[in-house]
Formats: sequence, C-alpha cells, structure tokens
Amino acid sequence: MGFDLLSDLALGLQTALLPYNLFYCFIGVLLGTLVGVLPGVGPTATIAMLLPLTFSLSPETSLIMLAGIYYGAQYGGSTTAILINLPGEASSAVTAVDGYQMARNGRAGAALATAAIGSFVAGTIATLVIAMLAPPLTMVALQFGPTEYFSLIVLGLVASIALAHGSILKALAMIVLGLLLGMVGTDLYTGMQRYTFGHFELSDGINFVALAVGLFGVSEILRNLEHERGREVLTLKIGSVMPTRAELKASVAPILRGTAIGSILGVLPGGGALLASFASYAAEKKISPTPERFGHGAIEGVAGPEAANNAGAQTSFIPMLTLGIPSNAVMAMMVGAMIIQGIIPGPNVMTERPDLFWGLIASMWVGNVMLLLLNLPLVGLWVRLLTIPYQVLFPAIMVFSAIGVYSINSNTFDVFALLALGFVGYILTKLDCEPAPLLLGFVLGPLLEEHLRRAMMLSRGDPMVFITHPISAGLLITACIFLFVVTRPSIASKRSEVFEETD
Amino acid sequence: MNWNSLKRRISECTLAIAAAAILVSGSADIGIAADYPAKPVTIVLSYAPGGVADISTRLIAEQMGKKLGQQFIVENKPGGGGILGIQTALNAANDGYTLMLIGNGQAIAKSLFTQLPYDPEANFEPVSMFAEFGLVMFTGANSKFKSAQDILDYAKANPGKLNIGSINTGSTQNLSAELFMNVAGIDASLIPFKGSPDLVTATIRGDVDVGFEIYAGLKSALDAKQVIPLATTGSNRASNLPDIPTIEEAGVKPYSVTSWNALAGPKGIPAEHIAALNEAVAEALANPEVIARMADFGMEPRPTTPEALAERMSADVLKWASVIEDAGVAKQ
Repeated sequence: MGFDLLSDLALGLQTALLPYNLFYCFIGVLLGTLVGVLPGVGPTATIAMLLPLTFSLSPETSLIMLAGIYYGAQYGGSTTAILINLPGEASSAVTAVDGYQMARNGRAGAALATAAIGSFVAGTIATLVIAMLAPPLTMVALQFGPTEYFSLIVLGLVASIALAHGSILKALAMIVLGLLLGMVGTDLYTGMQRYTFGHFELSDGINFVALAVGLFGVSEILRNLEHERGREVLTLKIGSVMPTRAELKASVAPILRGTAIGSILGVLPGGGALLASFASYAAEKKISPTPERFGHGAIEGVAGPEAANNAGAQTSFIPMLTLGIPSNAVMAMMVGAMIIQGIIPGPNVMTERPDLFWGLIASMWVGNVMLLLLNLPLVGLWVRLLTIPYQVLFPAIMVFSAIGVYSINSNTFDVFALLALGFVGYILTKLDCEPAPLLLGFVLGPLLEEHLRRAMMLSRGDPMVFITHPISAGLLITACIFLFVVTRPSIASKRSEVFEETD
Repeated sequence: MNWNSLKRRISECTLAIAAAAILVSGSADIGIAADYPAKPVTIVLSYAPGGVADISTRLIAEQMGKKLGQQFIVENKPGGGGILGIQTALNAANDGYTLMLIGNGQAIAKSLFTQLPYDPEANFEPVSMFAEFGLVMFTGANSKFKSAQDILDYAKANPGKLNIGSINTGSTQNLSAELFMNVAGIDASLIPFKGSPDLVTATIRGDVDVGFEIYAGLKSALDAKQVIPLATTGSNRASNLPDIPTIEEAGVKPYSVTSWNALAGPKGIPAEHIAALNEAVAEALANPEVIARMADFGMEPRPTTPEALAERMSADVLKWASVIEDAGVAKQ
C-alpha cells in the first residue's frame, strides 16, 4: 500500500511536472490568487467563465488549471481580508476578523505569512489525504449500481441542505429549483421532450456552462454594479513577514486542527472551503483558554480557518474523483469540464486515466508550492491590483463570458440563456438565495432520476431494493440521521451561530 | 479538442474571411459548374468534436478538399437531438457550399418526432453514402451467457426476467434491441443509458445481461476483454469480428440492422456539383489512410450513387417506422 501510494504519486508528479501542465497550473493558481484578491469575482464564477477556454486543452491540463483557480483563490482571499478587512472570498470572511486586527496592530506581515504557511501545510496534508483515501473509496465505488448511486445522491442532497450557508428553507428551495431545471430536455427513458416548449435548442437540456456563468458570473457583475465598493487601498505598513517564534508556536496546533476539520468537512456534500473556515474559527475560539482575544488579533483565528479552508477546498475533490458525485458548485463544474472533455467522472477515472487522476492530485501540491512563493514576496503587487477600475474589468468579463458560452455549440440561444440566467441569479441573490445549491441540484437531479428509475426498472418496480442492498441501506440511514440531527432545535440554533459568527 | 484542431479552427476563421472577400468581389462567378467549388465548402455536423462521426468526417473532408482543390470545413453544431445541425444546413443556400452529414438517425427521426421541422426524404439532396457500420450484441466477461443462443433460451424460459441495455431511447442501438426482442418473440426489459461508457459498466457489473452498441463504443472494453461479443447485427458477418455469428445465424429471422452515415445537402443543389462531390467522396473512401482509420471504428466505406442513397433513406424510413410502431415507442 505504502509503495503503491509512492509510485502513484510519482506517476502523478510526472504528469504534473510536464512543462505544459506546470505552465497551466501556474496560470490557474495565478488567476485564483487574482480573483481571490478581487472582491466580487469568486472562483466559482471564474471557473465557470474559463470552462469554454479549457476545451482546447487536454483533459488533465484543463482540470489542473481549474483546480488551481479553486485553491489559489483560498490564498488570495486572505490577502485582502487581512490588509483591508475586505474578504475577497466568502471563505476568507472569518480571516478578516482577527487578520485585520493583527494588521492594525502592525502585524500584517505576520498575519499574511501565517495564512500562507497555514494554507500550505494544510494543502500538503490534504493532498496526502486524497492520495490515501481515493483508491479505497474507488474500490467501494465499483460496487455501486443504480440503487447505491440513488441513495448516495439522496444523502448528498440532504447533507448539502443541512450544511448550506444561511436559511435551510431557502437552500431547499434552491435545490428543488435546480432539480427542476435539470429536468428540462429529452427524457432518457421515454425520449419525450420535457419543458422544452417546442424549442429544439432545449431538447438536450439547459446548457450547463450558460447556467453556471449566468448564475455566478453575470449575476455577480450585476450585483457589483449596484454600488461601487469603497476600495481605497490602505497604505498599511505590512511589517516583518516573519512571524515571531511565539506566534509560530501558537499557530501550529490551530493549523493542524484546521487541516483536520477542513479535510473532513471538505469530503461532505455541501461542505468545502466555506464551512470549513467557519467551523475551524468556532472550534479555535472554544478551545482557547483566552477566547476574549478573538476578534482583537488572535493569530489562532487566522491560522486555523486559513488551514481549514484550503484543506476543505482540496478534499472536496474526493467524492468527485472517486464517485463522480460533486459535493459543491465548483466540483459540479469540474464534473462538467470532464464530461465536455469526453471523460465520465466516476470510479473508472482512476483505472482508465491514472495519469489524469494522480496528475491532478500531485498538481495540487505543486500548485501549493507555487502559491507560497507567489503570495509571500508579492503581497504588495496583489494589493495594488485592487485599483483596476471596474469599468474596464466588468465589460471584459461579460464579453469573455458571452464568447465562451457561444463557442460550445455555436448557438445564439445559449447566449440569450446566459443573459436570462444572469438576471435570475441576480434576483436570487437579492432574495438571499444562494445559487450554489441550485447548481448542485441541477447536476445531481438528472442523476438522481436516472438511477432511481433504472433501479426500479431492474427490480421490476420493487422499492425494497433500496433497503435490501446493504450499502444503499447504510447511505439512506445516514441521510435520515442527518435530517434528524439538523432539525433538532439545539443543533439548528448552533448552526446559525456558526455561520453568523462574523455577520 | 487539441491544439491541432484549435489551429485548424483559427485557419478556418481566416479562410472564412478570405472566402467572404471572394464572395463580395466576384460573386458573379459562382454557380458556374466548371468553377465549383470556387470557395470553401462547409459540412455541418450535428455532433460534438472528438467523436467517431467527427473524426471520420474530418478525414474524408480533408481528402475531398485535396481532390477538389478547396478547403472542406467541418462545422460542429451539436445540440437539439441532432435537429439543430440539420436545420442549419437546410437553411443555407442550395448552391453546394453548405453540406451536412446525415445518417439513419434522420430516417428514424422522421417517424419518431411529431414536429420534425424538415422531411429527410423531400428536403435532402443526397450526395453519397460514407460508411456502414453494424452493431454488436455483447455481454459482460463474467456473464453466465456465452452465446446468443444462451440469451434466447434464458429469455424464453424466464419471461420478463432478461435485462437488455442500450443508449438513449429512439437511438439506432435502442431500436435494434427493440427489433431483436420483437423478432425473437421474447419478453425482456429494455433499459436505456446515457452513453456507451455507462452501458458498458452496467454490463460488466451484470446490471444488464446483454447490450446493443456500435463497435466504436465497445472497442476498448472488447480489447480489454471486459465484455464479449455474442452476435453482430448485419446480414453478413462483420469484417472486424469474423468469428462472431450474425443475429440471423443465431436463429432470429428476419433481422438485419446496419447503421450508416452519408453526405447530403439542402434540396436543389445543381446536378454538376453533386456529380463532382460524389466523385470526390468515392476517391476519398479509396484512400488507404481513410480506410484504416474507419476500420478502427468498425466502419466499412460504402460510396454510392446519390440515387442509391435516396433509396436507402426511403427504405430505412419505412423499416424504422414499423419498428417504432411495433415496439410502441412514444412519439416525441
């Protein structure tokens, strides 16, 4: 096993270290840092908009780049959070609490270094976690038939509602809306057209890229247009980049705890970076003998969440890589990228495309090294990026999105769909409805239906198969426990407490 | 898509601009047979880049371009169940500069869709068939079934127990399985899958007992011995699987299904242009490199006259109409 792991990682490094892949990995983490720094443009939107660009790349290269954007944004987001109290990324929101206070105390450099080192340590450990967990999970996944997949998706949907940010009711509504939008198109089993209203353009369903770019990209721009955010860049002294010995010592345990929390929450459906950083902050505050320091520049409040969000970002690849089931919106887009490249995500990827599988995993570690080098010495440069005027940035992003969406099917209908979905996304955010569960529902809904109906066809209409198959039964029981736990009043109040920590 | 095809796209764009310039400056020349083709010819493809249809059409298009001294551009227009691409080509001028790849999917569509915006017999101007390809009936390597006869024996002894898999409802593969059940007189469940990889995995796992798929979709699983071929669907044995009996040889008669694809355009292309194109197709299909690549996909080159293509289309329209009727497949 140990040797296997090493030889697998060696194969991965061979792929990841190809000059071509190194280059795109660099582009990915660079873009990730960039969008992480810029408030209002998140990794989800960026990945959505860059999807069409990756069609010309080989599958492993495009996944390496897209993954780089995701975890790169976790680094970049912390920079602005610490320096100007403006989290570039939602998952960096907690970092701003104590990071900005540290900056005001003249310890900006130390806070940035702690965030970068914490992210790097977490990224390294999470890479190993993926490498160790993925093969056994893949073996389990090969036992999965339609019955098991159905139950797994049910669990995933339940968990993503339970762990969603904000109101449970709204998350549920968004998932259901996503499921319904996923129904549009030709029914696999009967060939009937559903919700196409006579438009042949819709008979293959709503274009995934148009949906993702519209909901995340266009709507974010619309929202940003509402008010020019105050973006005066404080000419704060960054100070010494090296943390003191005492600060380092105080960071070690939070980084390791954050990594553990992030690694676990990342694997859970609906989890990922955002939840991980909130949970880690709550945990550090609880454990600390001096909780009153939190909110006034406690280094643990920077080290823990930063480690956690990076670990969570990376381990959320596990269910996508092994089962083909995305656990969050970014992973849903990775699934989309793979399908467009002609690769069916699932347990077969590891056996049939080991170079892609291990290459992607190894590239995460390579990308983390790049990020460490990129972020520490170049902090000043990133901060200056905030002065790019939005009147240049936004039209460029819009044009780029429209061209990208059009290029997939050379179909103008998709461009109109992009615009319409952009407005839908904007209205949804105005109503405090997160578009992420919608995208997850859109991807998982058709799979849920496909496997449910196939399982029922194979069992000749006997629903007991979901209980008589042991793996399926286990998954459904877990889903029930999840439902039971989150509806407990004590948990429900705790849940809002975790998320409202910084609100 | 890879770099080469990206480069090709860029050169296509350049060519398209050049072509537009020619069109503006010398439009009076166009239409004179001796000059055909005087500008690049577009072949609209209702399939995404990278698939069997895309690769084989690009190979043939390249050879046709060499023969006729003009670029033949393949334009992918997937989506809409293949209808959008055909519609795009039919909406273009019938001057021979916009063509399209058609196949027996269009013959099926005529009976399957209630609101098909065109008639595959009346609105198509046939050029030549490209290739025919039979389907393979296969099972998982660990299956208890070792022959088509085993399948039939089991299905007859256990009505309603057998599971047959295919891709999407209404596809050639799906209707071939319907026809098989119908002619053999067996009662089985036909379970549709989204694509060949899903179908192959389900067959290896034993979720379905037997599958129907084109050779290209099975090639890697066949080579890896993960699935075993039981029968082929043509009236003669397939040249790439000479040891495997046909379904008719296994006793299910009358049964013959071959899928095909062909070149056509919107109705009314001048006859001289059609003749020039037809000749170029025949020459391209005699090219050893083209033949070898097509053999990899299980496709047998079949250049025909335009008339023979029209006859095949009409024959298949009738054939699939009766299969759809007998199987009770819902009209879309």
